[in-house]
Amino acid sequence: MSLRSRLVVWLRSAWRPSDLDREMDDEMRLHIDMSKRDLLRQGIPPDEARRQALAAFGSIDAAKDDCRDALGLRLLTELRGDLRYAARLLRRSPAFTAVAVLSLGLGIGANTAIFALVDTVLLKTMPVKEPWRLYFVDNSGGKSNGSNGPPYPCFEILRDHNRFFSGLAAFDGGGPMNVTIDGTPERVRGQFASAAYFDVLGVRPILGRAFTSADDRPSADAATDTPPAVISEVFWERRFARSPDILGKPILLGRTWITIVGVTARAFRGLRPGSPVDLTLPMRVSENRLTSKAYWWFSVIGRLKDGASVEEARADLDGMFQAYMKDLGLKGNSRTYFDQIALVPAARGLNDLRNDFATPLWIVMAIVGLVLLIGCANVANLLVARASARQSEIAVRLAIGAGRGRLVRQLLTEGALLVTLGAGVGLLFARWGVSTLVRFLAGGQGSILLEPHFDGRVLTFVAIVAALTGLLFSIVPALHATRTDAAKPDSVRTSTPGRRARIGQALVVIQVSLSLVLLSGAALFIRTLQKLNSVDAGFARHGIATMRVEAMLAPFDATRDAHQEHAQVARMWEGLLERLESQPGISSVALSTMSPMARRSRGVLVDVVGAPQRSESDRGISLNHVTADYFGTFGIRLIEGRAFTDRDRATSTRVAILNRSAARLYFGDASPIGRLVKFTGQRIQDPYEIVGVAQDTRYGSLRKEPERMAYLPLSQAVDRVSSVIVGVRAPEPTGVVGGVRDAAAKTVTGAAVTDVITIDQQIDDSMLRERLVALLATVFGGLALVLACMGVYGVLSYAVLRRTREIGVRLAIGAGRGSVIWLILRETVLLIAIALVIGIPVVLLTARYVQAQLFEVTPADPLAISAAAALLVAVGALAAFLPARRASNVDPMVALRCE
Amino acid sequence: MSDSTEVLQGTLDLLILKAVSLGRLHGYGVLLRIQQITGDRLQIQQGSLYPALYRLERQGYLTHEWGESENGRKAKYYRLTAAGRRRFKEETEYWQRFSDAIGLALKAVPEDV
Repeated sequence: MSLRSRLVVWLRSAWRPSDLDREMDDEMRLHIDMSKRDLLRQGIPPDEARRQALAAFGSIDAAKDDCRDALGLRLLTELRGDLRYAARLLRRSPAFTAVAVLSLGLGIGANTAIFALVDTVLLKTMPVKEPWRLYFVDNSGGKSNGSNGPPYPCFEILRDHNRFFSGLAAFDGGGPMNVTIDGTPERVRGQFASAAYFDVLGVRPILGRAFTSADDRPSADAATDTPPAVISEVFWERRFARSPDILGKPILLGRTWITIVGVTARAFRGLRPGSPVDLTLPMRVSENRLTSKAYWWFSVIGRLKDGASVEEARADLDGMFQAYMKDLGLKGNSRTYFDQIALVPAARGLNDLRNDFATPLWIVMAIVGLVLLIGCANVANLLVARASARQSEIAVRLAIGAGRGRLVRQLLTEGALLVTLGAGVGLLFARWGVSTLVRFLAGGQGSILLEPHFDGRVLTFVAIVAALTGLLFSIVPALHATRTDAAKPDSVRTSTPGRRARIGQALVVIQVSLSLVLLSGAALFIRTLQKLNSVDAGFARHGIATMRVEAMLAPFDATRDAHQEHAQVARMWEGLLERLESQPGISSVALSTMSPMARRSRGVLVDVVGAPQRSESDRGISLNHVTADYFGTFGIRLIEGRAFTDRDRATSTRVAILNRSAARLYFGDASPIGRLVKFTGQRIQDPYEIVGVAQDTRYGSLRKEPERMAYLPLSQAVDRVSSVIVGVRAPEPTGVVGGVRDAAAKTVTGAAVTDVITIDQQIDDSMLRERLVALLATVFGGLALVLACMGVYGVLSYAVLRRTREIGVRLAIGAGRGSVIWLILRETVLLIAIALVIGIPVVLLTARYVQAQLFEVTPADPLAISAAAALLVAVGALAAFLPARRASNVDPMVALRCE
Repeated sequence: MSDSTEVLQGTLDLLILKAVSLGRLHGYGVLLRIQQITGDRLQIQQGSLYPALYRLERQGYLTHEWGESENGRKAKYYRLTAAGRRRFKEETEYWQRFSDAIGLALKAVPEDV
């Protein structure tokens, strides 16, 4: 018999014990009948023959049992019995079962949901071939997460001449693209990638083709060139209902026709977790950026050859990169940022989310871990209570010869059954929790689109957590219960309640101190949110909406005069502004190239005319082109000098306003008014005269200290402004969008209005992490509080029950109801006091780990900790009050009689 | 049956393997065959036969098939597997060596020592 068929027999007999039983029965009956027949042949009378045959065989049941053992089924038979017994017990006490399963379900569910998120964001490798051999080529020496690829011409050199990669591919960050499908405009998430992209990743199309090397170059006839596009299976399904006819289908992207040539399988949605890509286009579509020798805008990924070491591959690329930069006139010592090539492991993708969310997610993981521990303590407590009620039963079973190991196994089986039910409930909670979290993360402007799946990894996690949980909460009660002395079943009732009470109290102390940790954490995160909300951002937060208006400018032509071209573009934008200013319902409107909280920034180098050149990092400054009313619209105060006016034209003196930080750095305490600055390296080299200093504002994040900023009039822009942000202050800020669209359509070539959002909403979005952590910490802190209260309630109810007689005596000899209530409450107060004494140092120790997530709140914030402690004491007392009142209502006579 | 000998611990397996090696048998047949080839000299606990058969089957030395008994009832017939045949050979050799050694030992007289 092979191992497999043996396993089949075993499983079959395990699964269908009645089949096995019938088989054995048939076999042994036949044996006895034949034996009887032989005896009859020897002339023995029938009755006697039957008796002798049976006697010679011995006990059939014993033989069957031995056969089962011989098959190795004993454990299974016992387990089946244990399970049936445990199920009966659980059915018999539905309240206990409900509380235990719910405690475990909430704990396991929370852990599963957070793990699913952690796995998707932090742990999972990309669904591509051998992801561990993939590396990002980062030319900023590893200062980025790998996303800083070299300029395209440099990439081409690396791609064609490297010796240690089987392939190198470039791709851009991806983002929303406006396409027109069958005449309907749509927004999809797209990216550009070089031809080798899919090959390097080892992603094969499920329909049509991926890119070929020819896709990097446009076809000979530029007019009829339709670049190929590869779409995701999800998009194929959503937009084209999986129609196989989409191959060869033309789509309009801006002004370019593109053709769908292939579909990639569902699992692969690009290399950035949280930013799934639906449309991939060859890089040639964004041609004008490919030829620029000093334009950093995309990322590079490569697959290391078999046996190649990371260091030799890096050195090989770095040699070529340094030569390229030297040709460009940028020697090594003049570069601080793009200094050298680093290879960044790419197995988990280009994960910006990881930087932002790693710590918050681990914090939340720890929080839900603690919640599960508290839930465990609850179930352990209930089990200890129940085990003590079963002392006599257990004592009897021990006395009639049950092994202790066997009894422990029986109790563990009960635990396993409970935890299995809990895990089932937990999975339901987790599904709901995950979809809620996914919606929460997708809601913001940053749109983090995650697709966690309940796959094998998550289920394995659940199984491990459930197994540990079950062991944790049932091992103590199981060992405790079987410590009963079999010889003295009657002694049980008088000797163990003390120990049982102590175990219960210890568990409650643990619960309450863990709850204190969670509640203090929640308080710290809530205080952080409060502080962020009240920080002086330097601009007005309410009543302002912003939206982006993009223009479709003529293709860039380096031979045209920058002054003329920029002025011409600026006139177009001024036309839009004039229309908007005359619209009803708008109090104030401004155009700008950056807006507070919009997260986009344009960094340039600035030099003060007539001052020695500063270090490169000091020369860096953010640039914002604005129209005259920008400061008024966003409520940014001018500290010195004047704001821009309508008289600052393209042809008048070029003027600039610095923010306070910039003025401070470049001019110290002296007034900068009247001094000249130049933006070195830009197309327009004219000096700008400083006419004002504006107050500092935070940009992008309320947490970050304000950056240096220079404001220029839009009419005097150093850049060719192809898109602006319209900032509108209005009583009904979002009501003006229609008006803006109309005005843009009439004044701006190829206008597209996108990213409509209020400043309030942007601020909320910028605090997504903080809100997420505060929300989860609060929810789980509350859950911990409820669980701990159940613990307190349980322990005190038991205490009241245990002391009924004592209370009766006290009442009988004249104690007041109040003093009885105090008697019980005193126990709670003591327990909570001990828990606080243990918990507060734990809070102080652990809070340090969340310090980076806090804002203007110290980890040892006394307000947060005392609020948490006060809440615990109050709610704990409430939980204790019910049993205490029950105690005070004890009828002395009844109490005394019941003994 | 007062003159019959109880089966030595561990030798029942060998006897079963021997019995079945002579042809496929059902449980009762195994008993009869053992009685026959031992000349009825060994006393076998009939009930203990089946656990031994099940154990040998689980160990892969025996396999079974369903057939019809001589009186026309459904019966479970046991037969040796290849592994069982090997095992039987090993066990036989072992037993021979063992009983030779014991026999030699018991034949010893004071002069030999």
